[in-house]
Amino acid sequence: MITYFVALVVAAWSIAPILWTFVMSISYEREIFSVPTHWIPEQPTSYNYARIFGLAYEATTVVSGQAVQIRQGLVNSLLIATPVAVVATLLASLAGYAFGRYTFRFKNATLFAFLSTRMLPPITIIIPYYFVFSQIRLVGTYQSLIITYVAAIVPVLTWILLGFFATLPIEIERAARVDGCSRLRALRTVILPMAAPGIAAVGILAFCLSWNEFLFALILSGGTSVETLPPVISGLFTHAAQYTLMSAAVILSIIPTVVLSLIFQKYITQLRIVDAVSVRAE
Amino acid sequence: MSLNDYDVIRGKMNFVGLKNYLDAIQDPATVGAIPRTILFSATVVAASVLLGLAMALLLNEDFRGRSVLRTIVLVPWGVSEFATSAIWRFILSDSFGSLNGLLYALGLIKNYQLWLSEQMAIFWVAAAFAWHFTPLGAFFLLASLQTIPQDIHKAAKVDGAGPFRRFWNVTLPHIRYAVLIVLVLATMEAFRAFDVFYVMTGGGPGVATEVLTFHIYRQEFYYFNLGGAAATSYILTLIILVLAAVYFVMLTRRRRGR
Repeated sequence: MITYFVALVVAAWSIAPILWTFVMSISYEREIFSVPTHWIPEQPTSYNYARIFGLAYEATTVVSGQAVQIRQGLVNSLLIATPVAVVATLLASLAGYAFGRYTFRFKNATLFAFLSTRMLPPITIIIPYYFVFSQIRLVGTYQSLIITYVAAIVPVLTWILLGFFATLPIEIERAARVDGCSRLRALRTVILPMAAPGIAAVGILAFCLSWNEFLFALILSGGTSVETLPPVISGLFTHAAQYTLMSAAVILSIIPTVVLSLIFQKYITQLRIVDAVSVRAE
Repeated sequence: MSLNDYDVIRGKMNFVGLKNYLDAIQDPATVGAIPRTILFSATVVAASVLLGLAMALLLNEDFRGRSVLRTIVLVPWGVSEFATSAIWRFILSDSFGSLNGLLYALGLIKNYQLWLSEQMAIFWVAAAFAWHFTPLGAFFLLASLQTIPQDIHKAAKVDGAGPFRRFWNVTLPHIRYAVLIVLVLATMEAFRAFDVFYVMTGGGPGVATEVLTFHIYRQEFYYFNLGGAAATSYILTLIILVLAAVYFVMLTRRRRGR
């Protein structure tokens, strides 16, 4: 019926671009220029991926340099995204708990400030960021990006978590307090197990946000040894790199985030089931 | 972070008052960037809302494989903005792009076309951005569609309303709020967009895709006009805040009206 046809069109629209990039990444460079296009490569190869992981022999040193760059970019992205995810989740959990449970002075003002950080175009903040970091000579180090990302991400994560913490039942926590737990102990033994899926989801989100980030990575790490994956790939565009190699790099850069966001989706639906009385059953 | 001090002239901090703002407003490059930004945003918003609505309506129907489709539709949102631009740049390439390949195989074109040309580039960048953004809007609209009780649809059917009539008079009023939210989100994201422009076209050809965000970037890192860039940044932020305020007012008015 029409529904299935439209569903097919929608699915094709969503997936085809990624599929094409994948096809490119398993082709040889000369084959992608064939006319008419080879939708399925006649000579599929893992050469591009092998090069990136250092498992293949390089014909020219220029291209091998680019493969090494991509590898280094992958490593750098990982080295930055992981600490950011851990630290940001930690801070956001504490903050989310505080904002979700208690009221205090300046609460609303702070919340609004958090929200407005998301509204600003990153371009507008990049100027002073670069200035400050170059003054304290942290440009081109891991710390600069880690600090930047944690500072940028924690507000968003706190917003998400405070709503989540507010919905956790307070009776259990009160019972624990009555039984003699200190506030911190109650937090650790009672709240955290209940909040675990939300915190995990937020951690995944933090990882994805820093993995995908482009502008700050470009400015603060572009051209240095800590260059993360996005600036590396965009730099390759201007260096006339092999497109097959680049598409392999792009595929590698989207696999973690797509996989993680699918897992994230499961956590979200799990959370929703708790209060999904009004949502129609699937 | 006070940007007032950044009325810089090449390495020395000189206070020049509002000169940078006046320069920015009178600079033809800045002024030229505004209509491009508006064009880009309008295209993105229109495409996202229409496509998103179509997707939401589709996902609201019951059919086999619906949950699979749900996951598939979400994938473009999971791809980062930067990867989106790279992927679409590959597709639109005039030497090996799959769009050209597809049209050629279907016999619709004789030669490979340059899609990222001066006239069309901004629409293609908008298409790529919409590809990435639409799933978010679609899910908002879907959530809102799912709150409409089935009985109203059944009653309308019994009264003899055809599918279009039903959509216009029954569905649309219920999701108006969500549509507005998606409009706001789409506009804000479109105004903030930068990665797509940097990776897909580099602001070009020429200045064909130089929108406000990219213009600020060029001012700062190409011309080293830090003061001017800061001033333009403020102008851009002001525009976004005004938009947000306008939408906010529209939202709260509507709410009270119902």
